[in-house]
Amino acid sequence: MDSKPSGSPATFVDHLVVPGDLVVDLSSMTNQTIKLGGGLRQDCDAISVMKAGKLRFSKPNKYWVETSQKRYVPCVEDTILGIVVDSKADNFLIDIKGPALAFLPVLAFEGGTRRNIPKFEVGTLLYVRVVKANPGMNPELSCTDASGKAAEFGALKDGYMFECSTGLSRMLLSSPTCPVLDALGKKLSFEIAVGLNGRVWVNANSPSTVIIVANAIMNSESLSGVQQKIMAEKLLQKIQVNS
Amino acid sequence: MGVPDASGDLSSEMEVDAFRRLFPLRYFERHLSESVRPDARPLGRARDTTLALGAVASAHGSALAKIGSTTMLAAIKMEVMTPSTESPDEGCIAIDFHMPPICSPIVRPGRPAEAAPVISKQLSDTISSSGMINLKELSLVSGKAAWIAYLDIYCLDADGALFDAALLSAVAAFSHLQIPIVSLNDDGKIVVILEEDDGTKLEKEPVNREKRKLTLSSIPFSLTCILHKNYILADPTAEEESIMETLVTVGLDSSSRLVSFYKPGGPVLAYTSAVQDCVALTRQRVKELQEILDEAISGMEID
Amino acid sequence: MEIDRDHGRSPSQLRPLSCSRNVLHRAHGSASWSQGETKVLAAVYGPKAGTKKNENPEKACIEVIWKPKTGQIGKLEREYEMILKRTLQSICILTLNPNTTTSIIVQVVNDDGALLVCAINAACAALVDAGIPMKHLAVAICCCLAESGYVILDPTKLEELKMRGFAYLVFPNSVLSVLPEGSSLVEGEPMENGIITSVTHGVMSVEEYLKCLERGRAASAKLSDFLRRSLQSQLSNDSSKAA
Repeated sequence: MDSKPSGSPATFVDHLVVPGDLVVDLSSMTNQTIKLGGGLRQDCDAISVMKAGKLRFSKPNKYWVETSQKRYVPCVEDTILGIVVDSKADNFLIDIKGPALAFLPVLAFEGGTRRNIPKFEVGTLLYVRVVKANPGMNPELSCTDASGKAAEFGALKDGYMFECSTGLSRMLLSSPTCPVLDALGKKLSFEIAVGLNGRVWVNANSPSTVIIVANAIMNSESLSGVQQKIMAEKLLQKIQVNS
Repeated sequence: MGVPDASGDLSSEMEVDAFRRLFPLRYFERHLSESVRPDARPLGRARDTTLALGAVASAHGSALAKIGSTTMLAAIKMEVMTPSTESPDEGCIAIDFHMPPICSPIVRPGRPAEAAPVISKQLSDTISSSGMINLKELSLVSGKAAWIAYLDIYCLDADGALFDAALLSAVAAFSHLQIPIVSLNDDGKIVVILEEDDGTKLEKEPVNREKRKLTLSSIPFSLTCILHKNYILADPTAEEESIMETLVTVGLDSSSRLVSFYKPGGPVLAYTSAVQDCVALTRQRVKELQEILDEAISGMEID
Repeated sequence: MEIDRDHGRSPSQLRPLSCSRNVLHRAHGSASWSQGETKVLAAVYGPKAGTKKNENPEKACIEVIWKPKTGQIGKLEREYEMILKRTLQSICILTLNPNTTTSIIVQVVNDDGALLVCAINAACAALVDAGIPMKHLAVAICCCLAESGYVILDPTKLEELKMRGFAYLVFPNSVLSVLPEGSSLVEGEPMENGIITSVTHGVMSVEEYLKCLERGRAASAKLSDFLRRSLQSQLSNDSSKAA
């Protein structure tokens, strides 16, 4: 398919690349700054691919490789779903599906002081933001947005949490709203929180709605946009017949 | 000498020992650019090699090989066994390589070294594929009795190029090997005749009076090289092995045929020219090792 | 003189290849790879926190566990584990996830010759599936020398018994590049000609080894095309929905 790669990076954009491919020639673009996202690295005068996936480009200068994994590698400013594993004097220890447990400082809440430290039981599901992700250190989380407001971060009560690939969770967060959520949202009312680390939380008034939404999302893992829509509509028809 | 690098500038201000510990790779590269190694060897030169035969008096064949400070003690013990039905007139060789905790700080007591089974597998592969030993010579009575040679190699000091030293000690032990005299007793069983009994009891004719030495046809030797950038370093020490990780072990027999080209991964890729350079270095080294072995053998004969 | 092979194979013809990724639900990455009747399943778990003793904590550690079809593991399997470990270490970027361990479990499903190379190919595909950052991919090929000096590729178990020499070779995959042709030559040879791993058994002359290298390189180009195609076909299924 890629018989004649020419000098411009445009040839690889939106194509599938595998590790080792050299996708951008830096010697031809000396005056420009480019930003690299996940899956790319600089190798002398070229940008080389580290992970298999689709090469993406967003104007003016961002390149990244779109991948899907079952494991999450923390990245600053990602919003994720974590589970409390333990609480220490200064930090909560949170499982984020990554290589190491993450720290959530007890003061990283809106208006957090020593006097009003929140209490989370082990197993509590939290919607949090990654603030530090340095290699070799445990990542650090926060329950506030950049301006210190609680925003929608914090504990998620009730509902149902399930795991999926990181690719699927990114698709659920994409705009415009992805077909499966669009189709479900027209007929049902539910709450959803999606973490970029491949965790999804769903809550609704009736348990049956939760189950339908969760199943529809899990089914859409390997479906295209149109297929997702058809699948979701079929599911919805079935419940209408039953009820 | 001005290297445009932070550590390069520091090298003039820092003590040599500190520089070596803090920037080991740059320390080596500075040497390599002058075509010399920290122990004053040129790149392609192997360390001084010594060989002593008969280091273990109780074994039937033994040798102590030293390449630099890497030390290997090899000993062979012969036992009589019943040959397998597939090869009734062949004996066999069992090779075991041991790395006791004494040899290196990396080996911890109670936990066997990871490298040991791999080297012992490589040794038996190399020795069997070189065809150095004709297993038929180990036969005593076809289908009934044959020798099994237990070759045990102990690493006493692991300072790089373990396989080379182990192979050298193994080959030397085989050339020192003196097969014990055995005879058939009345029940048709093999018994070992002790040396001092030789003169007194001669009623039983030994089975193998003429076959006390093995004929070693094509002896394999090996050389380990490090590939780093465009440099090829022969016979690395443990320190060099830990810093520059691409190792190539080439094994050649005395007629210059390749018995092993072993490169287990490593960040540097080997291109055809590097392959040929490594083989050329090994050719030279095989000549040296052959001379060392011949000298050791002739030294034994004089005694 | 020609050599007769089963199914009228020519000396440098490979057996039918097949590769499927994401075959195990629980593993973070998995792949099965088969060459004719030889089949190997590889699973990747990780990166997990911490490294083992004696490993450099400033780098990621790779651990290989070999599971034979039957019985316990012996010296041969230990050697395979070591070769796989060193080979995979040299294609992965270890500095990106320091102080983590990635485990690769290799399960032999069926052994009909060229087992080690099949395992290396399977492990490489599984690492891609798990999204472990890699410098490039690796393709492994088994070359054999017949008594007559003929080089044949990818032997079956029966053919292996008749051969006097073997060379197991691993090369980098052929990459796509935006750089002008010829710019990535090393010592006058393209990058994919460099040997990552070489293991030989039996006696051969140096010329015969070089002949094996040449045949192996030719075949590795085909293998690397196959690997790219199979990765791409499966990726396009995953990411069509993400568009």
